[in-house]
Amino acid sequence: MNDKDVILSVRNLQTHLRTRRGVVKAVDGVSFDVRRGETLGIVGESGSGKSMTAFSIVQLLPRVGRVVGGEVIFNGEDLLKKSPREMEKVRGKHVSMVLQDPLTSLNPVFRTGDQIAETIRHHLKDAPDPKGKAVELMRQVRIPAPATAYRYYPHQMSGGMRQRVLGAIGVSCEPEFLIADEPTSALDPTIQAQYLDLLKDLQKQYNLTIIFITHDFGIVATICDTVAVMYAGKIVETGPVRDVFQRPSHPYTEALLKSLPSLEEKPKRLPSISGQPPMPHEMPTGCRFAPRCPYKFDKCEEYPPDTHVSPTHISACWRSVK
Amino acid sequence: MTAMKSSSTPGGGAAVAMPPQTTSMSGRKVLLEAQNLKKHFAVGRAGFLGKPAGHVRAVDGVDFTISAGQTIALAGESGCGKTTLGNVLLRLELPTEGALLWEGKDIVTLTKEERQGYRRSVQAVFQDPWSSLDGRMKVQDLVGEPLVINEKQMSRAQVLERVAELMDQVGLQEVHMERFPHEFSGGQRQRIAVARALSLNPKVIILDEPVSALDVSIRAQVMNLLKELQEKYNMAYFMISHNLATARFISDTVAIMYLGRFAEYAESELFFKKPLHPYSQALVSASLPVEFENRRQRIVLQGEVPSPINPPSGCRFRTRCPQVMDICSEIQPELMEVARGHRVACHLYK
Repeated sequence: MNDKDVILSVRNLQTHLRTRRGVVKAVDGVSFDVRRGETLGIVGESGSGKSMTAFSIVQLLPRVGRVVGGEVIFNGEDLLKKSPREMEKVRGKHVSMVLQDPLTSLNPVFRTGDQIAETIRHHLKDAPDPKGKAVELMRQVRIPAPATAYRYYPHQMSGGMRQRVLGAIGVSCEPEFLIADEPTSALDPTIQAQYLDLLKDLQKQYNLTIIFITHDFGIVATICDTVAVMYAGKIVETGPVRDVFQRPSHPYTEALLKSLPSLEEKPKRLPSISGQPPMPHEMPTGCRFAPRCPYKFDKCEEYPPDTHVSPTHISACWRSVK
Repeated sequence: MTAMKSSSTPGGGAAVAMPPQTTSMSGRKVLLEAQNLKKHFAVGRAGFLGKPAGHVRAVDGVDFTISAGQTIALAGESGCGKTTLGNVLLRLELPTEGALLWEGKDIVTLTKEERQGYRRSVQAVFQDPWSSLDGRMKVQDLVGEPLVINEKQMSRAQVLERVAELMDQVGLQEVHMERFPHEFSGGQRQRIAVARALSLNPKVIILDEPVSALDVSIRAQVMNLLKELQEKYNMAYFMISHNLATARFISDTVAIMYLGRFAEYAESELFFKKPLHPYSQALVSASLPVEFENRRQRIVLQGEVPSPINPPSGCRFRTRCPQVMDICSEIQPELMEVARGHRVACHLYK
């Protein structure tokens, strides 16, 4: 693997939100690389900054949000330097997004098929038959009877079908890069399994690179190649999924993985993490996890550097610093 | 439609369950008993004042018992009827058919006093502690409200004393009593909801997805708390969950529901060692583990859950079942005991 394979490189990304109670550093110096054709899982709890990281990449931040530093190098170009008009061309065509809630991302008063065709018309001006392509895409995402389903409004479809329509929109312009923000969290388990399968197929077919944002460690273990674990605006640990999950190096990752109940055994008590994530306005100055960390020592007053525990596995913890 | 007459006790024999049960097989006191319980909702009307166009068969014939100290986990996908069943248990809905017996008495015909007693004994903790707690009430009033309503003889001071005791039991501090819900995190709010449910010393608590709205790092704390409280007070839990790993940790009995009926009903140990119903197997395989070794085989079901207004003939799961046979469209399989403590409704196990 060499650097040519890196399609997206995020360097020291900082995104701030202006709120009534002051500035919140939602993303606070985040760096990672994604290689072509691989799936990166960004996993974290609510408020950890995982979605804000994704929205910063495509520059679809809420009005109060602003990227205040860092670089987002996509195919050799810094997306942060692009004008809003240039970004419009990148989004949808090169980088597309699938969001969590298909009911709010689809327009309720337009037929679902037309919403797919609209995206095609917008980005590929010379597409010969946007309608036909939309039907074909609906077939690809395994919507039964696609020609009929083309005429359905969003409310006439089930949650799983709507999410697949979003998937179809997501790949309609054959993007290289797809950001999926909790696309399955509103779906039932067996429907989620179908959707993850579909996503894998689409990835193969279009040679897609995917960032999958989730709070579910099980999904990451099932479909991702690499993982970045976020806590309170920082990436605390990143590396190949197997390395990180089997030999977690950061105490947060370790404690969280241990606290998950399993189908295979029934412990008397679950090893739980004490306390709660810090409030965004009251961030500890040093390691964000220190107040809850069982291994805490003096050094943790200062933020730990990203430290390689193996060539591909990085942890931000003083215990890894040799 | 015939009922699952033979399934009145978990692990019990094939007694035709009309006389109420007093003790379960394990010798624990039976608190609640559902006999061929059904809840249907009318939908649509043919014209003004016309007859309903159809019925949603939300719960369509289930039999089970809840005994003191027992935890039943009810799992299934949205729309399978699990929340409706929980609402019937809370007497928020009355059964359309069949019976729900509380200590041997039908909950429909309880007298006013008995009804109050029932409400005190069967409490609930809901999924979302952001919407289940009134934001304008102080914690002490939220937790004390059931006492103020039900224990009229208690003085204000006695109520507050009891609230302080409850706060301690759920791992909150007395100083928290003066605060409002918005000052707490999700995990703490759920603790407040648990304290409120505990206030009247209930015998049964219905837990409707008690941890799924909480952050991952908080869930283990709340699950441990629920388990500790049960060991201390010997309450029965009826937990609705779509997360099987959570069900595994907390339950001793698992019921898998599909379109209003139980597909499988078994002791947790037996169920997780070997789920028998093809739907259970798919559900277990859809619960994604973080382990990489000995992963269970992934089964991805085709299609979606059919409408509960017009469920498929015969076995309701047959339209998505990977092992469907001819008989499945003709005869609805009954819940049968295939091993001690393990019941399944499937023609594969005849």
